[in-house]
Amino acid sequence: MQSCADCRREIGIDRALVKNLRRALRERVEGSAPSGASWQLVRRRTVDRPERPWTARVVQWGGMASAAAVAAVMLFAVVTTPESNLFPGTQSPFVASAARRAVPPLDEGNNPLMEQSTAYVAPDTDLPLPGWRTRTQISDAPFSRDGEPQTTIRMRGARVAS
Amino acid sequence: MTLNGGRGVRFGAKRRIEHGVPVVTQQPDPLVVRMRSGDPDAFEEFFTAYQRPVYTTALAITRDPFLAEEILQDCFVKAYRNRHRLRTDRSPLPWLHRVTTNLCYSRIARRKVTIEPITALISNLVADLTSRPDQVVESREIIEVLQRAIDALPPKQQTAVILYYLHGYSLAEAAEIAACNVGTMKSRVHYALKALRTRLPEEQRAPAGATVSIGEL
Repeated sequence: MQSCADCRREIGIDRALVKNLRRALRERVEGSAPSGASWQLVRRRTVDRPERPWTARVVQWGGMASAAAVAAVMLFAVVTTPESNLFPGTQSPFVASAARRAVPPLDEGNNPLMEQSTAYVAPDTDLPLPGWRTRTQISDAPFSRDGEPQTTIRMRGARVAS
Repeated sequence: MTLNGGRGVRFGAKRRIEHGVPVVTQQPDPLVVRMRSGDPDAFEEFFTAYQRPVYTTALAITRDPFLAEEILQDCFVKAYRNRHRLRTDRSPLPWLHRVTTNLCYSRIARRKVTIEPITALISNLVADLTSRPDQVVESREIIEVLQRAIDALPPKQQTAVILYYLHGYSLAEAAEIAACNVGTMKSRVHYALKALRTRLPEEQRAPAGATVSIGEL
């Protein structure tokens, strides 16, 4: 250390820094003291303030506990309810796009089978609001001549076999 | 200060006054005992004994006398509410300092406003007539740079610098207040000094006569 001038210079810089730092810190607090009113304000908030009765604490904690319980029940209900029940009539966009990819769209105009088919095609109806119930329609197909509802070939076959 | 059977640092009864800040002025333990037993005058004595170091810490961190006053009040209200949990075998001062620093940093984070105190403005105007004007200006600049650098320090390093250099606590005492190891406190002080040094411009780091003579070593 005695032979190294640079080391001594470094120590000198550090000492000067500490000296200035002490001065800077002292300047922050010099000439300031807590006011005389501080004690009065603290006293008003502590000694002069009557202790809350235990009933008030029970009411406060009871209210908080019941609010927390209600929130927990609601959260549980939201988590456990299936999506279709929460938002009827809606479908996840991912599921819809996957379905579109799986079944190619049918061109109704050029398909001769569609013209002959009596299969019911449900009209596109938008629900007025999510959650509204719609009347379920099984079929709009006309009744057969004998007054019975139209039956499919498979149903007829089954009837004949029996 | 004595070591308390390896459980931590125990603050002594009569501490030296460093940098004009009285650290501990009287034996604290009976006060806490009296406070816990419900003595109405004990809390006032407790407030009188510890208000100064608490206020000084708050003011050094916030640089706002009004905010420091609010923090002082909040700190003692907290102490009163937790008086049954205060330990009687050691000084409450480390606990009070810890509460004060926590309150300071939570308030600063909420406000995000640094107010230039009026005392700093006045001290800027009043020049030391015994020094040469160029020296006064240079010295003032260094102090201003340091003030900004202290503000920019991370909270833990800032607290370490305030406890060690302003209050004059030893590293062990500062570590007790900050609830960390002595080594950690030493490292915080070291890195704080390093950060402050890098903030100073090159020409201001080494003032004239900065080299220490061999006799001073």
